[in-house]
Formats: sequence, structure tokens, C-alpha cells
Amino acid sequence: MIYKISFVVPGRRKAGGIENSEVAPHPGERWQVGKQLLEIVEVIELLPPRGDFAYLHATCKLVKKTAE
Amino acid sequence: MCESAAFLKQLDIFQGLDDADVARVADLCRAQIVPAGDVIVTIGEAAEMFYLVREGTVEISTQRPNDPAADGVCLTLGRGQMFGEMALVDRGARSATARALTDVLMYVIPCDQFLDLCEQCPRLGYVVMRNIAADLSFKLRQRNLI
Repeated sequence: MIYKISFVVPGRRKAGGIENSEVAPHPGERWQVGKQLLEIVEVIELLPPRGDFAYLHATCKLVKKTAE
Repeated sequence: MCESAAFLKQLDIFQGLDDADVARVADLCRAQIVPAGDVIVTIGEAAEMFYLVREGTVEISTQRPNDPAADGVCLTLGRGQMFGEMALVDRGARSATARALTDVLMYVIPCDQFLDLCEQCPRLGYVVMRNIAADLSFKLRQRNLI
């Protein structure tokens, strides 16, 4: 299964990201998304699975932003 | 199966295609490496290509360079994502600027050549256009949750 994951930090307009992953995100995990280290707070299914793809939405909090 | 075709099979835009159709799309792909910080496409310009991110992260921004004070939407796209695909649907100008946030390895596909392929292989065209619609739906739903 390939997970297409939307990452969003509520209240931060410049904190959205979309990536594919072969592993699913879970609350409490930390993920590097672009130049941001995020902690997963909640994961919901954004769309029903199709074929080998699952469509997830992860609400996150910002742990660290790497300087550009 | 060549390396680019194997990668394309991991993308939802091409799910539902058989190996022969994926190989036809792979024949149109050109690999390109973009250094971090480089602008790939600029909002407002004509759109002739669409892009598939293989490695790295691309920042998508709707902020216009002549109006930096305006509030623009900003999104990052990582491995397995596409951008520039709206040109395949509406042939309009670029709706956002795309910049490499890290070093990026991507595949570039000319829109005209891809649309010609869709005309030649209607099932391929139907499957990919349906998948593009689903991807745009995913992005709209994502936007609604920000």
C-alpha cells in the first residue's frame, strides 16, 4: 500500500505538505516534511482507498523548522 | 521495465494503467535535477510541461512577485507528487510558482506530447484524467482543512 498523506499544522498558512510514503503515519510520531519536523496529532482518511493507494490527512504540530 | 516506468507505477496518477501504457508514458519523461532554491515555474507564465517529483521537496506558492505583500497560499510537495498538471486540463497559465526547497530530482513531461498520447490511447487518457481529477479533489479537500 502507498499512503498519500496530507500534512497540516492548524493555524499556519505555510505549513501544508503532501507526500507519498510506504508506511502510514500514526499519532505521536515525528515526520520530516520538507524543512519542517512535525509531530503527528491525528490521522483521518481523506478519501476512500483506490487500488494500492490510501489517502490520509494528518493534523500535526510543528516541532522544528530548519532555516532555509 | 525501465527505472522511470517502475517509478511511474508508484504514482496514483498512473494507477490502473497496464505495463505497456506506463512504458508509453515513460518514453515521454525526461529526468531533471533542480538545485535547492531554483524556481521551476513562475505564476502567470505559459504552461508547457507538467512535473513529477521523484526525490526532494518542491514549494508551491500563489504569491505574485509583483505583489509580495499579498497573502499567498504555500504548500510543499514531496516524493510521488505532481504539479503543473492543471495545464493538461485547462491549458491556462501557471496558477502558482514552484521552487525547489531542497535538491529535487523530477520527471518532466511535455503537455502537448502527453495529450497526443491520450488521443492515441483513449483508455490511457481516460484513466489518467480521472486520476488527475481525483488528485485535484484531494488537494481541494486538503485546502479545506487548513
